[in-house]
Amino acid sequence: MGQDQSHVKSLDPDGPDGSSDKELVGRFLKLVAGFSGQEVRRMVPGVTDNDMSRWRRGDFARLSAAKRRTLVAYVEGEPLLRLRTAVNVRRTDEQRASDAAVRRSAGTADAIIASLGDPEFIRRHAGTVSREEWADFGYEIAMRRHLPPDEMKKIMDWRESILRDDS
Amino acid sequence: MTTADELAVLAIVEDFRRIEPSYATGLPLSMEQARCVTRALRIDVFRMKMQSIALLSPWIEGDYHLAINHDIHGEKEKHILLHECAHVVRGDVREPTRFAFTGDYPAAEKWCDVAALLGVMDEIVIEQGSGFVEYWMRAHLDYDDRGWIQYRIEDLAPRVCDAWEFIRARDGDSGAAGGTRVRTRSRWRTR
Repeated sequence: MGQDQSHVKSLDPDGPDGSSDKELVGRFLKLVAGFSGQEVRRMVPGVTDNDMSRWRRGDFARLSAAKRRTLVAYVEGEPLLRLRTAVNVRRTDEQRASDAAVRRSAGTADAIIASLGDPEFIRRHAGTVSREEWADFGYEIAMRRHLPPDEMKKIMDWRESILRDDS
Repeated sequence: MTTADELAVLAIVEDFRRIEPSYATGLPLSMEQARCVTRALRIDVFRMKMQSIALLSPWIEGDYHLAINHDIHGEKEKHILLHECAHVVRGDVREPTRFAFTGDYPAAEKWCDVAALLGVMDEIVIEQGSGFVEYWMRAHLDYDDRGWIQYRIEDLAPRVCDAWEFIRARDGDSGAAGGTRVRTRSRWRTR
């Protein structure tokens, strides 16, 4: 938003792991989505609150070699090790983490529909799971992700389409 | 414990232990520990009024969503949480939706059940009227109604006992469970 983005052009396009700083930070942010800056700092020593707020604003200043190594190690590291670290962090402040999860509003109707299946597929295969329940399930997920009204409209259309009588 | 599927159960246990080191060491997990596993796997759990026992969403931008029947509580709820977590670590729900509507994951259901039982039960007693039998029958009534494959207790329980035996022997050799000796009292009796 009006920030000077000229520094972005100076980013190293081919870091040691083959990714640019921007790509690397982008992958990192995706993995820690839903965690507060403080939690990330506890999960990934070497990353500061200041780093997180800058990166989340889209400010990808050139990474130092040490910072890049830290991010590469985390991004390329074993997923379950990441989970274990994350859960340990969460355990120390569970209530706040739970609040953060509820507040998290990532996602769009398209993402939910892509995951739960298009109405045609569901209408064709419903049986072991009722299509009514699956439609309600999608609706509940959308509610929990706090989708804005225009996105909720897509979910409602998806739901209606699933429930529509075939005859 | 020799087949690939049986080894897959042990892989699930290993994955769970990275989150809860006490998993399958012979003591049942507390509900809070089970919830901790779901949180670590980024599964958002909520209750829903429905006929099904549970519905698990595929991965949606970093999170899974799990709806549990609003009538289910206690041990059965814990079993469901761990069963669905097992599906997640196996990667069964990475593919959109197909599993839910085709019901063609019989092996997955079986081994997720075994893996979940390792975290819920501290002994398996197969006798008419025993807690385990009653629990298992209740847990699977819904499968019958929906035409899902239902594993007989007589088929499943030995798998759980075998897994416990294998883990106990291995942990005893390597100390993989942080020195904790398994205190499982597995008994396998049929009439």
